[in-house]
Amino acid sequence: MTVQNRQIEVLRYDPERDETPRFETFTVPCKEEWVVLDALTYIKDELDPSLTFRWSCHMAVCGSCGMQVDNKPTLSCKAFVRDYGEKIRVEPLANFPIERDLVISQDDFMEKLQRGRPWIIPEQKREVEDGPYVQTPMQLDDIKEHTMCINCLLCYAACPVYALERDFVGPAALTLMYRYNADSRDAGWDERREVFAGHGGVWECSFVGACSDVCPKHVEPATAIQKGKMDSAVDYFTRFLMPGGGK
Amino acid sequence: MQVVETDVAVIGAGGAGLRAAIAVAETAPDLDVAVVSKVLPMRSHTVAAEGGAAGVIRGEDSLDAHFDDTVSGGDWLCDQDAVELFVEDAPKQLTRLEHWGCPWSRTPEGGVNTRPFGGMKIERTWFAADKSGFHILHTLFQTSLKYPSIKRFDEFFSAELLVDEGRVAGVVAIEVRTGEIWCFKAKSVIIASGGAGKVYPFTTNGAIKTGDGMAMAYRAGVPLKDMEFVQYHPTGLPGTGILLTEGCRGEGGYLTNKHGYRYLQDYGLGPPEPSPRKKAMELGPRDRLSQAFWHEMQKGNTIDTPYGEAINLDLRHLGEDKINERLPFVRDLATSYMRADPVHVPVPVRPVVHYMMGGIHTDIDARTSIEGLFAAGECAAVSINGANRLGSNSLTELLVFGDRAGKHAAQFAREAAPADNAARIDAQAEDCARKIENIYAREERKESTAELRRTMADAMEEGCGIYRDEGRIRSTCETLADLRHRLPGTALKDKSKVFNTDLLSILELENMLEVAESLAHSAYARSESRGSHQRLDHTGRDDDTFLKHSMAHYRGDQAPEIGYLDVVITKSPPGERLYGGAADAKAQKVEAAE
Amino acid sequence: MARRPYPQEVDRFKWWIADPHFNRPYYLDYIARESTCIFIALYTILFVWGLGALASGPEAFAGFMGAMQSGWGLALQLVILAFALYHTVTWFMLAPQGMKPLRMKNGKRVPATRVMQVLYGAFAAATVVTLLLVWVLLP
Repeated sequence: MTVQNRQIEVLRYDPERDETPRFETFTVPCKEEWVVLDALTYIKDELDPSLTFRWSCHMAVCGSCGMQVDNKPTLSCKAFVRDYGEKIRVEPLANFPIERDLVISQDDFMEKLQRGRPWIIPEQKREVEDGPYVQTPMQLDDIKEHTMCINCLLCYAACPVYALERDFVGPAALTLMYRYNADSRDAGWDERREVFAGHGGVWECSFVGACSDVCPKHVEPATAIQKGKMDSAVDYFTRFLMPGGGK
Repeated sequence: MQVVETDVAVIGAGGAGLRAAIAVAETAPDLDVAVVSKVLPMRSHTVAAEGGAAGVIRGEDSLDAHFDDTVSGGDWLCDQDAVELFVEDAPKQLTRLEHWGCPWSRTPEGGVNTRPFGGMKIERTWFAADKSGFHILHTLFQTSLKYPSIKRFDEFFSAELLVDEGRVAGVVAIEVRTGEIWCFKAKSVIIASGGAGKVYPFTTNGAIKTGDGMAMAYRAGVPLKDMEFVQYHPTGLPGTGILLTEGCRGEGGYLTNKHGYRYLQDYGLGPPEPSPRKKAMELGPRDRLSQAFWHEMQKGNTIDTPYGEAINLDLRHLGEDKINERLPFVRDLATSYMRADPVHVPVPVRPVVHYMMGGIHTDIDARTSIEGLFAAGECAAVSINGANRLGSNSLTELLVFGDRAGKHAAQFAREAAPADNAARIDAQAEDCARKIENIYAREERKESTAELRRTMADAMEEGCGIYRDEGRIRSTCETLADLRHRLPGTALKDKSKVFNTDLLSILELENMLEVAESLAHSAYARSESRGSHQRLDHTGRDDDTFLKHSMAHYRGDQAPEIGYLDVVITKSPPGERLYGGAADAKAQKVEAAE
Repeated sequence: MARRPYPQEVDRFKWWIADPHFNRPYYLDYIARESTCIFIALYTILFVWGLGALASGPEAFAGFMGAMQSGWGLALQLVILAFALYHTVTWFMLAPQGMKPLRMKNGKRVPATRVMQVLYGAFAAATVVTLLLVWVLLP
């Protein structure tokens, strides 16, 4: 196993000591198969226990360890050091307030997620005795990629609309709303309409497409939002042009 | 100190904790629920489960068959009343989850699809491709958002239970982002904090799985049950320990040694057949498969990789389409982390610590020996898993016993008489706060937390691995005692209050050392081999002495005291665990005799 | 001491220049795609001017045609054509990503490349028809 020294340049910010964030560089003997997260845990264990970052699963599914690695929003557990240069710059995810070092505040996202009512709102209540719904593989396939979101927030860090317009509900939360709207078991469009298609909703998106590019799970938030715009337009016209609001 | 008064406090927001919280909110909407979790709910380790959740749904299946598979899979150490209840409730819980939006994989007709799993006689594992745990967790989390009575306290590290005169009164937690101490005063408390795989060096478990809830209950006086039973998952990636689901084998994957030989046929699991046969070969139970690896390694038949010995998981014959449809995450993981695309090459794998069968001792209603304290999920031992859990039973267990814990905790909170102990409880909370202040105050850093953690993990692998013997377990016990002694020598290099993970790692290490000690001493005392606990110096199963649950009792700085509790047997007397051709021969004999 | 979250703000006017290292320069591409719509608008203005000229009589229309056929007029139209093509192509590239999946008879999704092929095909067909019309109608 080859070991190679790399310079890991980390943004540090301790609100009790630092007025503004600053960079600190560590020299880390990286093994060949290491990911950036391994280099950070090395720093924490061997060089500076005060380095602060979130992580857990180390297999790109818990969504804890999103960071800017060389200025791109990335899961640090899936960013192999071998794919980077001798010097690697690690910063907290863009667009979010920094709590400390690489830890950002996720409050805004959590609030927006809940506001979107991301749960099945059925046409009528279904009991266990009724058994599972029938959902064909094709109906599942309609929403499949949009169910894969791990809430890692890379898409928010990539989204210039979110950066400039803080009311924007944002890629992941809107995608989740679309995923429920489009689920064959759901009938909750009306309850979600205001958040989904009103101020801060899908129409704020100008389709830059970077969210889908950085998404580690191929959730295609950009697609979900454009499809949501189509649904919203159809909904608008049926409600105002059709007699009885299209019901 | 901040004080929150609530009816039910749930510690942990993974599958079991969220299911419990939803159960409280549904059955008692007027009760307040505080969900206290050290990470955001969607980071909980339920997320990493891949294969699926077991529940009888197919016409040709039966609850009895699920019961039999579970009990024999657990080497008869399961409490059978709990298993009966579990298999009966399983399909209902999975159906609830379907109603809540879980995107289960489907049959062409639109029904829920099932796949075969190790040790299971019939396809009864509901799956959502190979991200079942992820989908279950997110479905539960998103569903939990609709109940106004559920209040979440995300990134709050629970430090100590408040217990007075045998009754729980709440929990003290650290708000991670401020460092402030919070006191949650609750009528009932549910621990759903997951397992403790991180006491080992090489595990599928995430960094957060440090046994915090187990240790808290243990310190408060609840025994830890059957801790010596540790599941090694047969197919983890060498180096990282990343899990490749049993679904790989359920879909037809082969395990081969360095000669390309399906070696499991040499370990009572054959004969080999080209397509998967239930309860045989690669679909044998996890303990047997991991043990077979160890024997192959002794024989020199394993493959030497830069990250240690391995065998091959060969999926190539499944073809790209099937792999992409059923195992896309496995393909992604193997390709990224091992640089081995299973469509084209076999993937090197090896056994890796995956799951704790043992945990906080509860009855079938998730009650512990402390009034008002409940536990569910991996941190608990009901026990339905006995000496070896079958794959895909644990996700279902989260739901069945999470639900029961929630219902019974709600009932307790509603019915229990108010306790007159406010002053004593406040004093306990102050004690806990002082303990944390004292850690901040330690000046000299004589020990490195990381170094102690490494020593602990290595000792656990050495003494409490797949195969164990008295001498090595004893030396592990000694190492652990020494480490507990050295723990106060650690100190904080990071004195900040905000998001102090340096502090958390000391508290987590304390928890892990206590859990590890209960595990090692239980393993030492059980001088027999059963399920996942294999002793080289006591190779047979000894039902006369050890058809019993081990109960580890906390004794402060001293080593735990190990007691025993009878196993509940309702309808399946202990028998021989047979898989593959041997099981068929036995079944034929029984049929002929009848 | 308490927490003091440090806000990360972007420059309202220059954000697209400081492009993160995506797989392609998304922000620049976006600005280029959106800003080239100006040329579509410009052509619309020319077109409306032409219609107006046509309505005002043969003399006015001849003047319009003269302007269009001048060196400057031709150059302007070429520039507009180039940017309009760029604008069109960028939207063609985005189209598969911005629509609900079309399905084949067996239920499988129509691949993105096929969607683009259809768009380019329709574009080519429309161009041919237009040229044919011009060929037939012009004296």
